[in-house]
Amino acid sequence: MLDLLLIILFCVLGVITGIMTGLLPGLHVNNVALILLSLSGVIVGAFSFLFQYGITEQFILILVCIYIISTAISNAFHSSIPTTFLGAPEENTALSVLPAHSLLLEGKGYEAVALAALGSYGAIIFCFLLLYPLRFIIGGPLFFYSTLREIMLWVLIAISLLMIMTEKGRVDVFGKSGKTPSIVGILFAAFLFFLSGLFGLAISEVPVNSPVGFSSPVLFPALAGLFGTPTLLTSLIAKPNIPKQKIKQPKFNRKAKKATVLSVVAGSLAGIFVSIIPGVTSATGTILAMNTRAESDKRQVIITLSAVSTACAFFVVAVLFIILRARSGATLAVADLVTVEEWASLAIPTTLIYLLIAIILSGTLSYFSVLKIGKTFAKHFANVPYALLIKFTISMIVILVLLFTGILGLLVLIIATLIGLIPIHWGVRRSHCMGVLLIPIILYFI
Amino acid sequence: MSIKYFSLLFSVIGIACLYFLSTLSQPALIELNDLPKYEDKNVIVEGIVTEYRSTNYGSQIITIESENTSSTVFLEGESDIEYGDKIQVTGKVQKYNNDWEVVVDNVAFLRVIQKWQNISMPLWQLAISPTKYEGLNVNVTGYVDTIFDGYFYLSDSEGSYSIIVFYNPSKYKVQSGQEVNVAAKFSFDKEKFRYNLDATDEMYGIHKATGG
Repeated sequence: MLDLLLIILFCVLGVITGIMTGLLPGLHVNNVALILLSLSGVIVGAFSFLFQYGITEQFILILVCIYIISTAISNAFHSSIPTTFLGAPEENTALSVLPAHSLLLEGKGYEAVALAALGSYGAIIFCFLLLYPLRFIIGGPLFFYSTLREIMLWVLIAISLLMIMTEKGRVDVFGKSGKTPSIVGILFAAFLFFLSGLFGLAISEVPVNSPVGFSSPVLFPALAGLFGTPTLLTSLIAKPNIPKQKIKQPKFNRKAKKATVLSVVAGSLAGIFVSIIPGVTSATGTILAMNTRAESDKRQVIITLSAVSTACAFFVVAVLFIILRARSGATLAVADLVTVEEWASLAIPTTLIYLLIAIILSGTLSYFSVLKIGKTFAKHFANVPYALLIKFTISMIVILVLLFTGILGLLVLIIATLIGLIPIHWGVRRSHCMGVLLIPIILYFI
Repeated sequence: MSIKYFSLLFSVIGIACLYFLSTLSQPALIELNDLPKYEDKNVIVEGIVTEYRSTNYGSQIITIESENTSSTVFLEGESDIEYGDKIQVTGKVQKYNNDWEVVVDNVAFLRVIQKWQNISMPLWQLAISPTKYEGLNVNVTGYVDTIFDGYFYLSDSEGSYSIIVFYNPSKYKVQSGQEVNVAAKFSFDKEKFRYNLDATDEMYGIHKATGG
C-alpha cells in the first residue's frame, strides 16, 4: 500500500515539475533528468527513513525514475501553452507555433491548448494499445530494430534529406522573384544542418569540466543553446498584440472526428518511429508526420504535432526495455539509475510496469492540468509577468551550464545560441540544428 | 548589423574557435583507476603489457597494468608489443561490457616507452611481488649459484632469494658466482609449486651483467 502511495506521490511531483519545464521554454526535461541523476545518491539518502517500512533502495531509485518519466510526459503536455500563448516553442513544438499562434490571434488560444491536450492524450491511449503489438514488431520475433539497424545509415541520411528538402522557408537574399527564394531556403537549410554538424563535431573534443565535480555532458550547453535560449531571447524582444481570449471547448463534427483519429494515429506512429532511431528527436517526428499526413487544417496540425511529442516521450520508455537503448535524456537517466531488464518474454518487466503506471497516471493528471492552466492563461494572459519569467529561466540555464560544464561550457552555450538564432531570424525550421547530433552519428555509422 | 547576419557570422567564428580550442587541449596523462572520470574523453595512459591478443578484424586487445590496476586497451590495428613492455597510449575512454577501456584509433598513438628487456630489475624486486610479474617477460639481475644440466639457480648477492632458471647450455656458458642479466619468461609452475624463469626460447637470453 505504501509503495502505491509513493508511486502516486512521485508521479504528482513529476507532473508539477513537468508543468514548470513545460511552461518555461528552455528549461528542458533532459536538464532536469541530468540534475536528478547526479543527485540520486542524495535523494536515496533523504528517503532512507523509508527502509524501516520495507522500502528498498532499489525501489527509491525506481521512484526517482517515475519522477523523471512523469516530468517528461507532463512536459510534453504543458509545452503547448508557451507554444500557443508566447509563440516560444521548444524544438519539438516548433512546427506547431504557427497554427497555434494564429488561433491565439483569433482569440482562440484556449482552443489551441485543448486540441493539443487531446492530441497528447490520444497518443498515450494509442501507444498503450500498441504496446504489445509493437513489442513483437520492434523486438522478437520480427526484430524490426535489427533490420533497421542494418540500414540505419541510410535511414538517417534519408531523414536528414527529408528534413532539408521539405524546408518551406523562403530566403530572399539572392532575389525575391520566382522560385529563387524557395531554392535558396532549401540550400540555407542544408547549410544550417552542416553548420550544426560541424559544431557537434567540434564540441565533442572540447574539454569541459564541472567546477564542482559533476559529470560534464558537453551536449547540455549545446542543446540548451541551440533550442532553448534563442527562443527565450526572441520572445523577450517580440511583444505581439494579443486580442481578448474566448474560452471555448473544441467541437468536432463527424468528419472532423475521423480526421482527429487519423491525426492522432499519424502523429503517434511518427513519434514511435523516431523513438527507435538514435539522434533524431520528436522534432524530426513532427516533420515526418506532417509529410505523411499532408493535412493543412490548423486544428488537425496541432493535434498531430502534440501526438508526436507525447508518443515519443511514451515510447522511448518502452524502447528502452525492448532494445535496451536509451533514446532521450530522461531514459538515459533511467538506464543509469536502475537495472533495465530486457522485455524478452510475454511478461512485462516489473520496472517497466511501474513506469507505465506513471505514464498513464501522469498523462491523465496532465490532461486536466493543462486544460486548467490553459484556461487561466487565456483569462489572465495580460497579467502574466512574462518578461520576468523568461529572464529567470535564462539565468537558470546559465547557472546550470556553469555548474555542470564550467566556463568552456558557457562558451559552448553562447555559440550554440548564436547558431540557434539563425533559423529564427532567417525563417527556416529550427530542426535543421539537429545536425548537431545527426552528422556525428552518421559519420559514426560510416 | 542585424541579428540575422550577426548570428551567422559569429556562429561560424565561434565554431572555428571551438576547433582551435579542441586542438589546443592535449589529452591528460591519467592513472588507470581514474578512467571512469574521463568517459568519452581523450586521455593518455601508461602501463606494463600483461596480455595481448589479436582479433579477427585486425585489431588488438591489450591488457595493461599499473599501480595494481589493470585496464583494457582496444587498438585499431596491430603493434609489435611483447609481454612486459611498458607502453603509453592515447585514446578515448569508453565503457564496454561494464568495463572501462581506452580505444586507440591508430597504431601511431601507441608508443613503447621501454622494451621489457630494458627494464632490468634486481632479483629481490621480483621476489617481493611475484604476482605482479607472473606471465611476463622480465630482465632480472642476479648471481649464478649452483649449476645443473639445463638449469641453474639464480641468487641475489646476500643469498636471501634464489630462483630456478631454465636455459640452453649449448648456447650460453655460465659460471658459478658470475653476475648475469637473465631475460626470460617469469612463470609459476603449478606442479612443482614454485616460480621459475624460462630462458630456453630463442627470444630470451643470458648475458654478463655490465656495470654494478
